[in-house]
Amino acid sequence: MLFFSFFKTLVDQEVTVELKNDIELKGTLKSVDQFLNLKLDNISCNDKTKYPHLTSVRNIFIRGSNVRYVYLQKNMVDTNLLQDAARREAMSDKR
Amino acid sequence: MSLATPLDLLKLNLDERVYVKLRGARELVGTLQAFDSHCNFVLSDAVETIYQLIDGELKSREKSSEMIFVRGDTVALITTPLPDE
Amino acid sequence: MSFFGFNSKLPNEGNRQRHDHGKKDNNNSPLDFEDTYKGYGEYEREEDDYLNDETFGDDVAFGTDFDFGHGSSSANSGMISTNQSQGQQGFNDPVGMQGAQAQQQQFQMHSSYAAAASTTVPQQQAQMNVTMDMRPMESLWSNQPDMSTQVGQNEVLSMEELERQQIQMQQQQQHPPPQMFMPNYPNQQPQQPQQQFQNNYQNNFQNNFQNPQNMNNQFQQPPPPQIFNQPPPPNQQQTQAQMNQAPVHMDSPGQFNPQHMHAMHAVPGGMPMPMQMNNQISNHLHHQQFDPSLELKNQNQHRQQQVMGQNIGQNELLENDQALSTPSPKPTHQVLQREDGSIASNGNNNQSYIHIKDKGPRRMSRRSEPLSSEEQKRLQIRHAKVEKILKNAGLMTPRDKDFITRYQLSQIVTEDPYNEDFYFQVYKIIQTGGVAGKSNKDLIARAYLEHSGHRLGGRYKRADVALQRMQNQVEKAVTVAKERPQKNKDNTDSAREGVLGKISSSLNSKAPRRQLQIPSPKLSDEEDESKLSSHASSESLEEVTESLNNVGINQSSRSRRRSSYAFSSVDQISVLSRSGGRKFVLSLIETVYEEVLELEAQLRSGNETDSTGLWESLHIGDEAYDVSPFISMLSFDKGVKIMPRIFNFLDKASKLKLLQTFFNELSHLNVIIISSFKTNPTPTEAQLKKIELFQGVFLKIIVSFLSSSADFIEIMGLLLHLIRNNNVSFISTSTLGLNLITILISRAAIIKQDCNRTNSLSSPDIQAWNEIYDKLFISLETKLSLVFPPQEYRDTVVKETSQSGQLQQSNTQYFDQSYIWQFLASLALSGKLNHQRIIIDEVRDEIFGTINCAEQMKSLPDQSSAYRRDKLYQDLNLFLNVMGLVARDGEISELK
Repeated sequence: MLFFSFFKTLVDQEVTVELKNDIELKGTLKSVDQFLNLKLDNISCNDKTKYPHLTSVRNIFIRGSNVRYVYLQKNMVDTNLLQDAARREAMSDKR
Repeated sequence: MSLATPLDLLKLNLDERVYVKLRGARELVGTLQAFDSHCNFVLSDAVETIYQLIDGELKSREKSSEMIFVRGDTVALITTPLPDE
Repeated sequence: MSFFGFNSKLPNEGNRQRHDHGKKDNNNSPLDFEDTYKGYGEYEREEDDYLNDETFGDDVAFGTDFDFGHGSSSANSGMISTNQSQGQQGFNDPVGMQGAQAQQQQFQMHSSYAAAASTTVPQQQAQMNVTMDMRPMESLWSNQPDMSTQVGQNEVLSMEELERQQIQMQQQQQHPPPQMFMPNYPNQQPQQPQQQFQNNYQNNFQNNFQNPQNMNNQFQQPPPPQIFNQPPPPNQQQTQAQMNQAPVHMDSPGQFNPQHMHAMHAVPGGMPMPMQMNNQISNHLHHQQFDPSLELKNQNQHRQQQVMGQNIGQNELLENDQALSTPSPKPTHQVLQREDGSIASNGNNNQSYIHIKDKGPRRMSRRSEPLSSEEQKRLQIRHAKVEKILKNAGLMTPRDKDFITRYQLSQIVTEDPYNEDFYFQVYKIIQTGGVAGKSNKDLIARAYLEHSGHRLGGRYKRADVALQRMQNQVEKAVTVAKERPQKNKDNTDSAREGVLGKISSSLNSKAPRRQLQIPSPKLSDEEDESKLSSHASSESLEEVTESLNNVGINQSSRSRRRSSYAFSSVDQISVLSRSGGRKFVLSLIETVYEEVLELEAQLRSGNETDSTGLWESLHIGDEAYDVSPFISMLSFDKGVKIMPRIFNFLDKASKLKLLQTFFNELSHLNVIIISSFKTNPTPTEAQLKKIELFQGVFLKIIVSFLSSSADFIEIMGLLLHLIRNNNVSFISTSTLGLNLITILISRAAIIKQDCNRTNSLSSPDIQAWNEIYDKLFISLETKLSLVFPPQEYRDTVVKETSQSGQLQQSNTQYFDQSYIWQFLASLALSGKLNHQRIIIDEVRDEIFGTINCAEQMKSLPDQSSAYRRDKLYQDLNLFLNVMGLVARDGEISELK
């Protein structure tokens, strides 16, 4: 549940999602679930070549398995806390 | 040292630079901030290198990002980077 | 039947006519009796049936061609209707009919099925209208006066009249809360609404609106009575919720709102018209008074009908409805505006049903004015959206929805958020500044409710109810979640039997069972690394030995110092190899982290904390390695970062021991090595960052520890450790090292001063201090000027820091030497006169150099130079003041 928790803190932030089919979308993260499916609002084009010209689409749902990267900014993350959370996750998985 | 799973070894590299090989002729180098049992992880100060065959020639391009989440199902291997990287 | 002008007494004529009607044979010749007579006449008149004549009539004609269809022409209609009372059973039962004439007459009434089928719809409707008369006499079934006579009279009202009547009805009625009851609905499904019939029906309704029971009987519906509401497309969930809650009742006194059944729409046009009159419940009533609950139930019905899969007739029926309701578009609009989101769609371009949820005539008139085209447009859009949403509503029962909600919640809810949702919880706390806030469940309930868009309740009215229910769900989910891990513990291989064999439980998906057994790895890398470590540079060895000779230390310390010098490589590998290897050290760090996290978790939950595990993980007293693993841990950033948190859990003795170890092996510390211009003349930005981190984190805790809980003797001890086990001169060439020395000395001096006032220091203490100071001084003597890093070094550092812009020093474009002057000041402070003299002697060049530098800046006009000049003087005077001197304007004079 680590990254679910992580993404929950990123709700209402603007992120860029790169999918496995090379589509790149920038939008506001509105929702995430345990499978790391994402809902983005207010989609906009980041990279013209990678944008599928969904010009009429504003809000989308992305199945988590289709995500390759999610680009974030450093100020959105508390790195020390994140590392600790990863350690805890590894501990609990081991148990 | 007790019996360590591969992910335990990955835990040792938290906050350290790691080199990741992904599917699709991609590489990543970054500071490992978090990971989980699916090999999803978050890297900071990362550089992605994409290798492509263009006109029969091997070309690479790089992309940097200050913070990136990587989904685990594309990961092929994770290790520590070479000293020059 | 003489009123038709038909003389049935004449057999031939009758026959002829019969032929003309039904048969193609136009033979006008009289038929042979023998051919046609089937022997019916030989039946004897029944004796005991007194009502026989009345039942069957005494001049009924028999027929041989028993056509069960309706009459083919309207000319027959009259005969048909009059025959109804007689002929309900007549078709099937020729017995009891008397006389061939009767037969023939009857026969003439009815044409063949084929003829009936070929009649057009209006004709059929006309015929159906007539069948209305097959209703039981209302006067027999109610207390009300007989109104059945009115039916026949008011067969077809004009539209305007209809409207008027409806409005009247509406005004008379109040709000009934009639509720829908679904089950009988399917029965009503296959029906074709017919216009005129419906008109009649409406008339009946309007006339009989006081008679719910009448209606029931007319429809021959089973109790409980049903109300078929118009199909609005409001919130499906509301429907469900209210369906569950509200009781079904219809017999509100004096009030009955027959409502149009949208089911009619679902009937495909091509269906054959059934004869079941009891199923003809098509209401064309538009004006109704509404409840939100009603609407929702309407919608439910609507859904169900669609589930039945019949959408075809919808449109045309809608059009019918629209036609009927055209005169009053405004009220429709108004009403639709009235309630948010739960209003039936407008019957404009979307094909939904119009209904008016008016609470009274007054509101209608009030709202009719401000309806602009824009509002209409908005309404249209909203209705389109609502319709779209509700297109598929009604598929799930409330129980299903509850189940889904609970299941979803169970996945995200946990009774121990700190364990499962660690990052989010702590992040929240950090952001809000450390306030615990509302209970977790409440937050979850609220968040979930918001996200689901108040699905479970009306927008404003039922928000609290929905919230409460959501909280209940959350609690239920939490209890389930609590039981889940226990259940898992009981049978860890909780596999379920499936058709294809065993299906593994979630245990595997979240944490896949290990398939491989990994043999314990041999720590061979240690051996490899130790080979690297044998690069001893002979030069530095010489140097060390020389300097060692001046200081009185014991042998073991000497050897340690020598070795520390020999392996002062900038990268950590050599050092790490002597404390177990990189991986080993990293694993130690991780173990320490685990201990700390556990302790912190225990602290959070209010338990007592036991830090022995933590202490052991630090390997502080570990003699097994040349270099203490603890020191090697500090060469990693994350090792440094965990130090303040460790200090939270250690007692004073442990902390002291930690610091002793620290000072013992200071030379091995990577940060020291990289911060010394001797061993690292060209530091990189990364290294400088590391130094800064160490300075900010570790030095801070040392200072706070020393100032809070260390006494004089302990500080002495630490100093001794430092002096004995390290090359102090080397340490002094590193910024960090110099700072550490400064800290110790200045702290000692402060305590001494305090104790001097109170005379609490014992003479042995003072003596010890003097000795230690001497030792320190001796080790630094003649090398004091070396403390100042060379110009190149300063330039490098300045360049690196200014490039990065991230380091704290980056705001300075010059190398900040204040730390050096601080060191010198503290050294001078604790020294006697001769010490001070020596110090001044050795750093004289630097003193004057600084003054000159400052004076040169005087000539420069810019602000930063002036600032820098002042700072230079400041730093210098920090040192000079200790000795009673002050530098001003290029001159040194005595401090008054």
